[in-house]
Amino acid sequence: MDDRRIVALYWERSEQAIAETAARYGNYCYAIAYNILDNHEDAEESVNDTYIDAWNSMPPHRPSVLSTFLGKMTRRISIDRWRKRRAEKRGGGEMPLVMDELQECAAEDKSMEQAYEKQRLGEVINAFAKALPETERRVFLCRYWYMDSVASIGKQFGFSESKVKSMLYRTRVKLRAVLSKEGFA
Amino acid sequence: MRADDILDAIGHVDEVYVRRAKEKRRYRKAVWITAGSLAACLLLAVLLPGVVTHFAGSSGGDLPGDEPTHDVEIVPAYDDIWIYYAQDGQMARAEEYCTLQPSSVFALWKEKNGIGDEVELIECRIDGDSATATVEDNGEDTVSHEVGNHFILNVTVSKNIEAYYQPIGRELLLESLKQTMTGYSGLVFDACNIYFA
Repeated sequence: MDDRRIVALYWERSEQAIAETAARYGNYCYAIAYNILDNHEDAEESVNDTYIDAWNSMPPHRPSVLSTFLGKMTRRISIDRWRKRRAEKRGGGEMPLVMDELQECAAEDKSMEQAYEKQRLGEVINAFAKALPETERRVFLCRYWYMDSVASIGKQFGFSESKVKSMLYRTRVKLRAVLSKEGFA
Repeated sequence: MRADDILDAIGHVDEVYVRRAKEKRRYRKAVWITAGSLAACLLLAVLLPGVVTHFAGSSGGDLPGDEPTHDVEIVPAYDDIWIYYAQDGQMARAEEYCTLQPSSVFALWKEKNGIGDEVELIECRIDGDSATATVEDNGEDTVSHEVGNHFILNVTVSKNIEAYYQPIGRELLLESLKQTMTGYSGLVFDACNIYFA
């Protein structure tokens, strides 16, 4: 069943929508969640929460590409769950490494509170990603959007792990420079 | 600003780039089609289904029903193309990385112009002054195709595109569609007609 028909099921409030979503995108969402949480039960809970969020979001939303719509939800839900576990000092996987890497681009210990600051940061990072050469952008997003391991990124692109690490390091240096110029660091 | 803020902000990167990050790229032996051969092949594929078709770069064609003599796979080409769209009453364009297939290009054009899924690409056809003839040679029929010099692109879209004339502007919208659909293939078109069905 294609995306348009699945979205139509949500709009008709048919429970078949969840079954069709699970059949088509269950594995995709699970992979995103597991990358972040490194735990089967937590990843499954995140995927189930994604289905609930999707049910509550459509209507009014009518996404043309369901995969990224659902993927964004799963990513957000899983990161929130990971943060709760971090507070409880639990968990492992890729997230501690990803956070250490991104900390190189951050400046202070103080989190941004203002909504407009967060929105502006989102716009700056979006423009930064858009300006990257294509392969560098794909590697950057595989690491920091999908939380793929360096090994699996290397396998996907046919690169050695050291090449992936070098590429990511150079991109983080560029990102830090952009954030500094924009007044974030 | 902390690492958590950057992590959250990365979640807002354009969905197009997020999707492309995971696209599988196949690198098996590909057969590249030149612009002239593309037009010839499109017409032949429509008119003469049993004809032996030669692709640039291959060592020969296979007759229908034969076992393949070499491992050649035609893969859709990807490239950076210009997508034209309306912005603040003017024509703008953005470079996008896309499969060089009319359906994919059309989908990106819709996305940039804020047009919904209900508007469909029904047909995208190249017409021209190419000529095909069957010649008898030593008792066997041989098909020869002469690629012409003039190409016309005919694009048919669903009629419900009219719903978007009011907010965007009919002339601007249709011109952006023409420029997008004629610009990505490398062919130089003498004209582009848009039909509604």
